[in-house]
Parts: sequence; structure tokens; C-alpha cells
Amino acid sequence: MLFNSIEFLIFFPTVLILYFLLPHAYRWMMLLAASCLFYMFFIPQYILILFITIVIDYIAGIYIARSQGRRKKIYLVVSIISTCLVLFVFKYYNFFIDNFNTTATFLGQEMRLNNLDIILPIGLSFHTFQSLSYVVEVYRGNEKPEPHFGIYSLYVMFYPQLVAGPIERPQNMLYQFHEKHSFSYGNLSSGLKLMVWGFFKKVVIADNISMIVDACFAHHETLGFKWLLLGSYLFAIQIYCDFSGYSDIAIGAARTMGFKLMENFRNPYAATSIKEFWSRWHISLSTWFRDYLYIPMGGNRKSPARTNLNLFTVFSVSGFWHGANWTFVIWGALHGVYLIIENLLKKFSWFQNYLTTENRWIKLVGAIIVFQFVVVGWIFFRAPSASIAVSMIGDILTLRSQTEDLPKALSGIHPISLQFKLVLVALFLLLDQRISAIATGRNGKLSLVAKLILFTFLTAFILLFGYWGDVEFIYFQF
Amino acid sequence: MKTTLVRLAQATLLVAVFYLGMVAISSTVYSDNRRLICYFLPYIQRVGGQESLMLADYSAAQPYEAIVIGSSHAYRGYDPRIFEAANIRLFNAGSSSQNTLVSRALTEHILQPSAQQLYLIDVYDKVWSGDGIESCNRLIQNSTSNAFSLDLAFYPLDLRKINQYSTWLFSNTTVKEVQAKDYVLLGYCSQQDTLTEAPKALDAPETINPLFEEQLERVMELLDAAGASYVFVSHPQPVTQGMKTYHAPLKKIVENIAKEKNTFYLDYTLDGRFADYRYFADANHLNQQGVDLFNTILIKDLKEKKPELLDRFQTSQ
Repeated sequence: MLFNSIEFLIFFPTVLILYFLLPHAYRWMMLLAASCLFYMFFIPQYILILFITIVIDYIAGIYIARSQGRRKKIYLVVSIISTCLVLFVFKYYNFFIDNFNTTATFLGQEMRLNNLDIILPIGLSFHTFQSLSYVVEVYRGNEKPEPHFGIYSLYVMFYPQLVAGPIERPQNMLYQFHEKHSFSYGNLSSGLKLMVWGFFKKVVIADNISMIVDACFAHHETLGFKWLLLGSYLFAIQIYCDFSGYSDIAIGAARTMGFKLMENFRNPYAATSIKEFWSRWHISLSTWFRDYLYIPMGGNRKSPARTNLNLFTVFSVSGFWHGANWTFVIWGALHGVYLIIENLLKKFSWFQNYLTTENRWIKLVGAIIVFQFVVVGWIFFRAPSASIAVSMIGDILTLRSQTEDLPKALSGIHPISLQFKLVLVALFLLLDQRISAIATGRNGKLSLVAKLILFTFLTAFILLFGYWGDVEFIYFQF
Repeated sequence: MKTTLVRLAQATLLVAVFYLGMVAISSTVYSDNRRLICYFLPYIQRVGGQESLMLADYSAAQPYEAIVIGSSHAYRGYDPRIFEAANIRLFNAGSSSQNTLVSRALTEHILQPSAQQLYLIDVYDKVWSGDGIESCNRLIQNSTSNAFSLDLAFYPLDLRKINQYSTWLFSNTTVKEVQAKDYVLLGYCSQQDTLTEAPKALDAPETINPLFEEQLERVMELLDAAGASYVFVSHPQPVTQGMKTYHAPLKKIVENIAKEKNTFYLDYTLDGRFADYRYFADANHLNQQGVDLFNTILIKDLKEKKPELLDRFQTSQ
């Protein structure tokens, strides 16, 4: 089920009301059933895949906790391999086969392997990582195995974060399903505010600019550098609004029932370094990679060269996590390279001073520069192939000219409509932080009446100016 | 709990006020003879056009003996003047991208069928798929009946239709934002262009939307209840690659429905008599020359297939 659908408009209040009407002992059942229903709106039979991974990791968790030494490690490895195998088959098998066939052709071999005719289950990478974090935490002794199969299933399947995160940790979630949550006006109000802001970002900003972005990337060959630059900047805003919008809706929906999900975005484009960017962008994934890959690989505890190699590996793997395509790997690797360069620059005092400065103007210039590097990465992320991404970047850097005011590729969009969308984006960029702070409760300065007016106005704006066609969230494909 | 309910009620009221305020402003401010909302929301349909003239014409010259319902294939494919020459008073109630959902609302609220009437239900392959938003919104915007607009706007629920309905409430219907230059009379539009080369292959229709099947059933129930007769017709199309493959299963569906309802289906989609592109204005529609030939063949076939359907019109003159 999509958050931006009529079905969710009925589903959400129904689940919320039922949750507080039911006695605590039955709430998990209702939430689990609702989560199954939510997931089955996509491809119903794929719930069986989810069920298999749940059963494997549930049993593995119990056995890991009961065992010691080598046996304990074997259970962990078996669990990780079987969970990752599902991910491999559905997400990466065809990628490897395609590359195998291409390599065979290149080497003059006639051997060809067939692709699997399957669709990627929605959000598979997200719940796979959430399951993996459970078995690893049980293995490390940071979390006791969950004895209740229903509660464990809910930990993997909790509908707000089931298909696109935040990727939660068992320490943060499992105890919450055992707790009794009483109805609270504060939770309802702050949850709804977050949801409204999330919907605004998704259906008003991200979806409304998607057609401009699509046109710029689809017709990049005929467009001048101004349009390519506009398309790339707008994609940076689109992906931020799309994904952080989803996270806000998820966190807000959970909060209305008294659940606290982890923060996933914190004003990422204000980052003054790439390292800072990754502490603000998709926080639940970057901390996952930090805790379960980077630190076990040695993190920054070994030589500087090894630290840089670890960074490069982790970010390349992170890129591959996003999608079975070289463009994602390059995007991840590029960020790895950025971080290595930053590490090298730390040897210079001017860079150290820059990182610690409190000067607003220097920070602003720094954020603008970092944003340019992030946008270069987004071009690889969005382009259908690495060669197209390279060609687009080349056209931007060589300032390729164009004679038409509004290229044919964008002729379906009326100039007034285009201006309206760009004004909306500009207003959003100006107000995002202030409204986010109010929605998340970080800023309590606004009076109750002002908040009521602000969020009811935003709701009306969403209803009227939201894009209400069938548009999925970008991160669903991962 | 009481505080929560009071606050939710206050919030809902404020949302409604802001929403209607924004609709009112963007629906009454014009730029270049078009309301601002039409620029902001591409799915909002404009005032005027074929639907506006068709709805106005319908009430003016009743009663009709035969009525066509369907998409642009219908309103560009059945010329009331040719039927008039054969002593059949025909009204063309086709509208752009009309699917069975719209046909049902149109039949129920506007056409209101009566006994002795013959309905020609024009079906083409894509009538079973798509969301039908454009079709609904064009009629909502140009409707003069609140019940009809409400029906289209709220069933099934879709915010794009509700936004169109709200826009309609504030619209100034005397300002025509779009003209129908090729409108002739009684819902019919004529095209004079001629296709000069083979059209591009059209996309195969998507999977059948069960709602549209259900709505066709409702249309037939309404016609049965009124004692009206109906036949299914598919008008000729320039044959493109893949069409033969995807048309066959869809044809079977209509044939089965016709058989079940004890009526018949006249399918001219791949008719060899229209193999020449000069009969078509574009990849989808007949031009006037094509309509002349198609309507003559259709009237002849109707008379042959079920003479009692048309003979009664002649005897009632």
C-alpha cells in the first residue's frame, strides 16, 4: 500500500483507532495483521518470502543465544547467508548473469546463462538489513533473543517502516512492542504534524518536479547545460523530499501509536563536509554500515591506508545495496573517494580550521560546495547508465549551449506551470528547516494557534496541489 | 479524548476553509483566457469543448431513437446526419476517453434511457484499461447537473476528480477556455485531415480493470430496466503492429458479453474495407470520408442483423 493513496487514508485511522481500542494483549496481533495487509497490497504472494526470512532469523536468534563458541558463529553465518541468499536471488542474480554473459561475449565465449523472470519484492533490502541487525545483535550479546514469534515478526514487518525504513535496531524496537502505549494527544498531534510535512515533501515537491527531472534525464542529448544543471539540482531535491518525506510519514505514523522510530534525515544539504553529509543523510543505513561492516573491518583503528580502503569498500557496498546496477556502485564509490580526499585534506590546518569554524558565511559557502559534489553523485544515481552520467557531467562542465528557451523535451510543461513548480521548490528550500523543526518538536516557539494554522494550511495545500497520480517512492525499488 | 476530538474538528474545518479559499482564488484568476488552476494542475480540464456542446445539445432536441456512447471513437465516428438520412434520429453521447464508468454515470443521470431506444455501445480495446481521470474531469467541468458531477467525482474516490469538482463549483461557465472547432451537431465532431503514412504502433492495452467490467454490467442493467435495446460496435482503426494479437482476447470478452445478453457485436476494428489510410484522420479516428463509409455499412449491417431494431423507427415516423 502506498502512503500517498486513498487506501492509506482509510487504513491509517482504522489501525490507529483499533490499536487504542484493543486491550494491550491483542494489539500485536492487530498490528501484525495490518502490516501483512499493508505489504500484500503490492504483490501478495511475496509475503511468503518475508515469512521465510522471519522464520530463519527467529530460530537463528534463539539458537545463537543458546550456543557458545564455534557453534554460535556457525548459526550466525548460516542465518546471514540464508537471509542474504534471498536478497541475492531476487535483487542481484540477474545483474551477475548479465555481467557474466557480457564478460563471456567479450572473451569470445558463446556460453550464455538465462535471467530469472522475477520482480524484486518491495523493500527487500530494508527488511533484510533489519533482520540481519537482529541476529548480529543477539550474537554480540547486546540483545536477548525475542521468544515471542509474533513480536519478532512485527519487528520485521511493522507497517510504517516495512518497505523503506528507517532500518531499525532490535534494541530500539523490540521492547516498544512489549510496552503498553496509552493514547496521548501529544503523540497524536506531533505524529500527524510529521506526517503532514512528509506528505508535503513527497506529493507537493518531489512528485511535482519529477516530470521535469524525468524530461531532463530522458532528453539529455538535446539539452543545454542550464537545463541539465536544473534537472540535476531538482533531482537532488526530489530524492531528498521523496525519501525524507517517506521517513517523516513513517516516523509520524508510528508516533501516533506511541512508537519512537529513529531519525533518518537531518538537513543533509546543510552539511559542510561529505562526512557530515553522511551523518545527516539516511542515518539508519549509514549507521548500519558503520556498525556492521566498517567497524568489524577495522574502521579507523588501523593504518590510514587501511582506513581509506575500508571507507571505499563500505561506500561501494552501500552503493550496491541501493541497486543492482553499476551506476549505484559508482555513486557509492564516488562518495568513498570524496571521504578519502577529505581524510587527506585533514592534514592541512586550513581544512581543520574550516571544519571547526563557526562563521556562518564560510559554512554557507562550504555547504554550497559540498552540495555540488553530492549532485555529481546524484547524476550517476539517476542516470540510466554510467556513460550517460559522464556525458551529462561533460556537457555541464563544457557549458554546452542551446538555442531554444524551452526545449522540446519540456514542451509538455507550460511555462507558468514550470515557474509555479520552481517557486514552490524555492519556498520549500527557504522554509524546510523551520517547518521540520516545528514538525519534529525541536522548535516550540510557535504558538498553538500558529501551528494549527500552519499545518492545516499545509494539509489543504497537499490536497489541492499534491500530485495524485500513481507515483511510488523512489526508495521502494531498493 | 474530548479535547482531541474538538481539536481534530477545528483542524478539519480549517483545512476545508483553506482548501476552498485556494480553489476559489486559483479558479477565478485568469491568465491568457485560462484559469490559473489549469496551469498549476495539468489534470484540471477546461471549460468548453466537445463535452460542453454535447451536454447542451442533448436536452435541446430530444427524444432520440438511437444513442451512441463511447470515447472519441464514438463522437468522431457516428454522424447523426447519415443516420437521419436513414430515418434514424441519433444522438452522439461520446466523450473524450470515455470508459464504462463514465458511460454508466452519463446513462444514469443525463441520457435516462427509455423503451424503444437503441444504444450503440462503442467499445475499443483501451476502454477496459486506464484510470479515466481525463474523461471524468472533462464531463465534471462541463456538466450542468450536480448529481452527475458528484457521481463522477466521488466514485471511485480519487483526489484529482474531487479537485476538479471543487474547481467546477467556482467556475465561471460563460468564459469558454477551449473551443471545439470541429464540432458539427448532436455530439458529433468531424475531422477532415487525412493520414498519409502508416501510424506508429499503439501501445497494447493494460490489464483489464474489473471496475470497468462491473460498470458495463450496470449500463446494461439500466438499459434493460428501461426496456432499451443495445448492440456493441467497434469502429475501424488503421491496423498497426501487434493490434491483431491484443485485439483477439478483448474481442472475445465483448462477444461473450453480447452472447450472454442476447445481443450482438459488430466489430470493424480490423475490417479490410478500411485498409486504405485515406479513411483516417490519425492513428485512432476516421475522417469524414471514413465516417461516411463506416456509417453506411453500419446501418446496412444493423438492418440485416436485426431488422426489427431499426424498422420500428421507420414505422414510428
